[in-house]
Amino acid sequence: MPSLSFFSFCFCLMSIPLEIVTDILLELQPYQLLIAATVSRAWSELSLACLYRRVHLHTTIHQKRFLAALESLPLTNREAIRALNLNAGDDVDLEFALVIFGAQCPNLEEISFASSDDGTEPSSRIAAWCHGAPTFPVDLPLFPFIRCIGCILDGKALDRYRPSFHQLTMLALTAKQLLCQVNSNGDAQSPTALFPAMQTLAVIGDPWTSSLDASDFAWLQHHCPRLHHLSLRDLRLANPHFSASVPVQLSMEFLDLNGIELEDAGWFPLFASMYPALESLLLFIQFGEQAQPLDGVDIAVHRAELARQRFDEMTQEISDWIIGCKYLTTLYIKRLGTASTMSDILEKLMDLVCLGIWNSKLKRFALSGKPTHRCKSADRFFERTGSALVSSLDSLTLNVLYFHDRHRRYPRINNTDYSCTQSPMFPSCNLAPCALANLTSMHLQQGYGKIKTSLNWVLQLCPSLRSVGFRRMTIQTDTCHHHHQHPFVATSNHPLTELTFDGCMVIDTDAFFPFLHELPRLTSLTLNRVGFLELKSEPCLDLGHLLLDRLWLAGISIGIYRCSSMRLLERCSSTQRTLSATQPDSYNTGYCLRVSCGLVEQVYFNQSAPLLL
Amino acid sequence: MSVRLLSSDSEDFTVAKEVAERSMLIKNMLEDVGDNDNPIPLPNVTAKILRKVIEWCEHHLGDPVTNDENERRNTEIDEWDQKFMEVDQETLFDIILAANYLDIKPLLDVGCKTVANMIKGKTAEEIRKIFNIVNDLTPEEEAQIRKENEWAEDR
Repeated sequence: MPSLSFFSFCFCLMSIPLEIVTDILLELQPYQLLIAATVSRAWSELSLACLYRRVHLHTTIHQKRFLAALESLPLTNREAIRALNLNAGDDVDLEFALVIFGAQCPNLEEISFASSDDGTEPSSRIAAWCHGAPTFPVDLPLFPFIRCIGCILDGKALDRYRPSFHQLTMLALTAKQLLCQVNSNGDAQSPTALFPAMQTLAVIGDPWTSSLDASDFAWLQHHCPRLHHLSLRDLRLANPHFSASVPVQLSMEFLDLNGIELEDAGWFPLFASMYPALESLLLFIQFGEQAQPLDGVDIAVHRAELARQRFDEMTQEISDWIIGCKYLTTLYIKRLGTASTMSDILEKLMDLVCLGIWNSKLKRFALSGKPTHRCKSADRFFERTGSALVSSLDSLTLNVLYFHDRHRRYPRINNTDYSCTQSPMFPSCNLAPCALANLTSMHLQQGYGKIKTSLNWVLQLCPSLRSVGFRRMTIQTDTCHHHHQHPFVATSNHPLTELTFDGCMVIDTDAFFPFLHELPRLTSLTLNRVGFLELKSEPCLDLGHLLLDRLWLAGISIGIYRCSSMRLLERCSSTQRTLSATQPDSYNTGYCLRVSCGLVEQVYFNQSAPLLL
Repeated sequence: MSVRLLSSDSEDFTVAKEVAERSMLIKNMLEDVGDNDNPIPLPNVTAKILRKVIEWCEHHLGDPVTNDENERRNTEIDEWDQKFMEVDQETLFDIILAANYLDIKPLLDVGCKTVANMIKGKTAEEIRKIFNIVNDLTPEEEAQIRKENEWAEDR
């Protein structure tokens, strides 16, 4: 006789609204959905619907297998496909794939591309797909129900989609395509908006040929009345002056100015009044050199003087704009003019917080990009006067080169010296201990070969850290042997769940693998393009009974040898098994990396490293 | 300020207004009716479940509210919630239903994740055992499902 819980489950499953059952199943990975699909007829229907609702094909292997499967897939499954997330890598024949998707996925609503880089770079969703999207315009076949298009369309495809403009919520346009729309639908006062549903728009240009004026923003406001996220990349912003009164767009919350050349400081007050509800700001801006000198003035002197004045003006305008954004919680700075302007602005922001003039609500802050010079004021972050800004943050991303002189010659990092006496350590050993105490997410970049970091030191400084990522860093596991008498401090209660290394070198490998064993909450481990210096024993990563969501091991080398295969032992799996993921290797000279843990949901292994997702 | 809530089996609960307002349903109701001493009837929630839901709302009173779907989805279940959800299946489903009815999204998420965790890492047979499901698929049908969707086997 069936038990009571059988009735209760049947009863509950029937009484639980379908969307909740779907919510439950959407928590599962594709391979688990496939298992769930063989449980019973009812489960099969629901699980397959979830499996196909959003299809992520993040590696070329997945993509090829899916394409092959698609042609023999029943119509119900093909009709269930609503979103496709593709890899736009070099070895994918994208055009061919799109033709097949066009023919086989009649109900597609969203097409986007996996970010191929910048895994640790702060990126909101649009930044991710813009970065990963093909840089060339794509001839996308017509999907009649499409709402989100995560790539630039070529001329033909854009014409094809004209009748669908009203339903689009996400689109990328080249600056030329945007200006073409502005010119052909020039009347900013025409009664109907061209993109009434648009929420996320990316405009991608070329700073030498494409420029926008204030009037183009007025057009955008009129024709995209629900715009929420505007991402501008590689553009020049020319004339900020607007004849009519400045229109206000309260729906705008995310603004990315990525690779933008500004000709006039008047843009900042304009943005301030146009977009008063901004929550997130990404800034990579440079100041144009377009103004002509007056007659009889030495050009070089004039330039220098003009630049100085302009920078002073810009410094003031930018800081006024930032502190005027009342709802700003996210600030990503990649570049603000020259190194000295950037330093001045940061200095000013920290002063204003310290003096209590700016009541900063910032939760996420990044200083990334490619610094050409050390940014003097960055040092203040960890001092008492700057920590007012840092200590309220949840998430911090730093390019460590801002903190060190790029042109100074540092001695080569000595693989047996675990102190900070020869090569500098970041965060430095004399850092105010409470400055980073509230952080839940931290990413450090670009110290490779020059500046070290210590995993243990980072975890000690940030006791609330959930996620930590290092990109192009040299890493030691222990704290500095010079400043810390007992370098290895147990971390057995540390809440860290996500650890990512990309393009890193670990110099004390023998301490590293046992250290990971000490992290009880780890659920995601990514080691991508990581070199481990000579290891005395066979490489063995024992994570006890940890249940991992994601295990990504690619491009790992130990000493001069690559890891060419991996053996995975899952202790909690009902059928205790050893999984070996081996890529063909004609020499077969590499190491075999042994990994054991409780269970892994998503595992990826490759002996060479793809670009990180 | 406190609010009175009436369960389906007529038990009267008095809770702080901020606690009750974790439920969007109650929050909206309070906005509509204004200050009022009458208890709010919740005909879909029993006293046993309402007690659990209130306990959860009290513990999570200070939590920030996030509307970001991805952020919510990617949040792990914390230790307290794990313990909170260690109940029999019937109660678990009732909590999920109540969270849905009362419109308490974070509680609904925790419930869904808990059920999902019961499924993760299990074979089809184990899932049937846990939920007491009778397999009504023929071996041929099962094989066909596996074959058609083979691409998803890759992790």
